Parts: sequence; C-alpha cells; structure tokens
Amino acid sequence: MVIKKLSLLLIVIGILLSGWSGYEWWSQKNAVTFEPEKAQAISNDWKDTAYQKTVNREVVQTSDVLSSKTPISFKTGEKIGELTIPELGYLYPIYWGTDEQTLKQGVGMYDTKFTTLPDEAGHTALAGHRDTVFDGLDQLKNGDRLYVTVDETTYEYQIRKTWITDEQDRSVIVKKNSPTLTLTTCYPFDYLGSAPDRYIIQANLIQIDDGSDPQS
Amino acid sequence: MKKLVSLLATFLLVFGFSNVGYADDDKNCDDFSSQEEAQTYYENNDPDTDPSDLDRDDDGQACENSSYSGSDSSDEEAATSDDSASSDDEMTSEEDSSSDSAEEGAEMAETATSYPLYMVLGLAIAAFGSLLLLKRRVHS
Repeated sequence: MVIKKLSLLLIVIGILLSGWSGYEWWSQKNAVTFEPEKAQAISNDWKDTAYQKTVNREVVQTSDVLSSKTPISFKTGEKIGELTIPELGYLYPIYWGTDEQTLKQGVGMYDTKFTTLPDEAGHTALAGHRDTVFDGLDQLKNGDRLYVTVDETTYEYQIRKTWITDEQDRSVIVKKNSPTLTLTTCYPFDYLGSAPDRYIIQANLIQIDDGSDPQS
Repeated sequence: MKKLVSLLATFLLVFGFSNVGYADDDKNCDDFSSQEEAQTYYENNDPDTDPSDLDRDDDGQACENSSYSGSDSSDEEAATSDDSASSDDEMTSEEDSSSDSAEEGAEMAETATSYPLYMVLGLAIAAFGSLLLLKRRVHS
C-alpha cells in the first residue's frame, strides 16, 4: 500500500516537474519569431556571403543617418530593438541588460562600460540562452549577415569569426574601436545542466540603413 | 520491505544522477568571507585528505593566498610562516592580474537554462513511479 502511494506520488511529481519546465521552456522559446519571409525581406542581399567592406568608425560618426539622433538611455529589461538573422529565418526581440530576468524575455544587450549601442560605433554585444532564443545559432557561418534594428535604423553586420571559449574569459566583452557586434551564448548547445563554455560570434558593421532610402 | 529498500536505493540513484549537471558541494576559497572562516571549514572537514583542496601547498593553512577584503590574514601569515615574502609576492601578483582582467573586459552572461534538465528529470521520476506501480500489479 505504501509503495502504491509512493509510486503514485512519484508519477504526479514527475509529471508536474516536466510539465512546468516544459511550459517555461516553450514560452521562452516563443519569444523569438520564426518568419523566414519577413526576416529575409530585411535586405535584398542577405544571401551574399562574400566579404563586404567594413564601415569604419569615422564614417558612422559623421553620417547623416545618425547626426540628428540624441543619445538614449534605457532601463534594464526595456525592449530596445530587434535582431534579424535571415539565414535562420528568425527575428529576436532585444532587451536592455543581460540579467536573468531580462534573458528570459529574449535577447539581452550587454550594459557594460566596454560596450555601446550600435549608433556609438563601438562594441555592441548581445546574449541569449542557448536552449531557448539562441537555439540553432551554431548553424551560422562566416560571411552570414546579422541585422540589428534600433530606433528605426538598421545596422547590417557580417560574421567574421566564431569561436568557443571558457565562461571566465574576460577578453571577449572588451572595448573596441571598430563597430563590432558580438553574440554570446552557452556552449555546448545540447548539454544538460550548467554550461562551462561560451560560443562567440563576432561580426563587423558593413552598412547602416535608416529605412528611408535603400542604399545600393 | 526488501522492495522498499530497493526502491529507496533506486530513488537515490536517480537523484544522484541528477546532480551530475550541477557543481557538487566542493568549496573554493572565494566561497568564504575570510581566511579564518576557510580555516575553520578546512579543520572541520577532514584536513588530512582536504577534499575541497583548500590547502594547496599542504602547510596546514587554508586559503592563505586568497585576498579577502577586511581581513588581516596576510599579517598573521607573516608572523607565522617563514616564506611569507614569497607568498606575499604571489598574492600581489595575483591581485595585479585580477585587477588587470577587470580592466580588460566584462564577464559574459549566464546563457543556459535548466529546463531541459528538469524535463528529463521529471520524466525519469514519472517513469520510475509507473514502473513501480506496474511491477506491483503483476505481483498481486
């Protein structure tokens, strides 16, 4: 009799545990939108993986697109823009900050003294959970394009480098003088439990588009 | 009764397995707020084998090279041990490198959820429970 009760209790606990974690996982996974047509409509040449010329800092700082903009400050957890990866067909909401609560909502933008918003032409870094929002990020290759839209301006980046490093590595989120976008997520992707490593994707700015007139 | 024992054993096995993904209760020097605290923990937890490896150089002093703010452990050490000069050097060089890396860049975000692990664990518990129930049905 005791065993019967115990086994029934185990079944209930087990189902509740998987049900709850499954629900949380599913709802966080749904923070991203899978719409290949919309994602690929962001640019005509998203498929072109040939290396484009990198936009340098001076060009960004003197461009008409950005000169009229006033500096913005965000609150942690506030939605600030969107990341689009046409290659994967995904659109990701970007939130300000990389704490636990923010990363539950979607992709988080690092708020450190080393990193900047895209319009400041420094180092912009994004983080996302490997098993929810950034699931499948390992399929990206050098040359693939990433689009970050903040304040109605789209910044086009091209992947130059991907690598795996230790979680303690402090040489990734550093100050950079050329406009760079870095994505970080946990590695290995299919590992249960804690993650000892980080998967890093680094891309350079190749174009800025304020949406009014598509540049060639 | 025998069944109950084997049940508990299997249960423990399942939970023991579930701990694989987490860090075990191995203490590190920075888990303590002072050298004294580390020393007490070290002395109360089998100092001969030192399971947490708090005393790397086996001199009976736990975490003497760690820098704790507000503790004067380095002064104590200077009074008690002869090689204080060398370990002080070590300490300052360690401090230098840590402050350097703090200047260098920021830590990366924690980007793994434990939901997949919990899902597997929950399924394992439920499967175990139903197996137990079925087995009982067959026997009775």
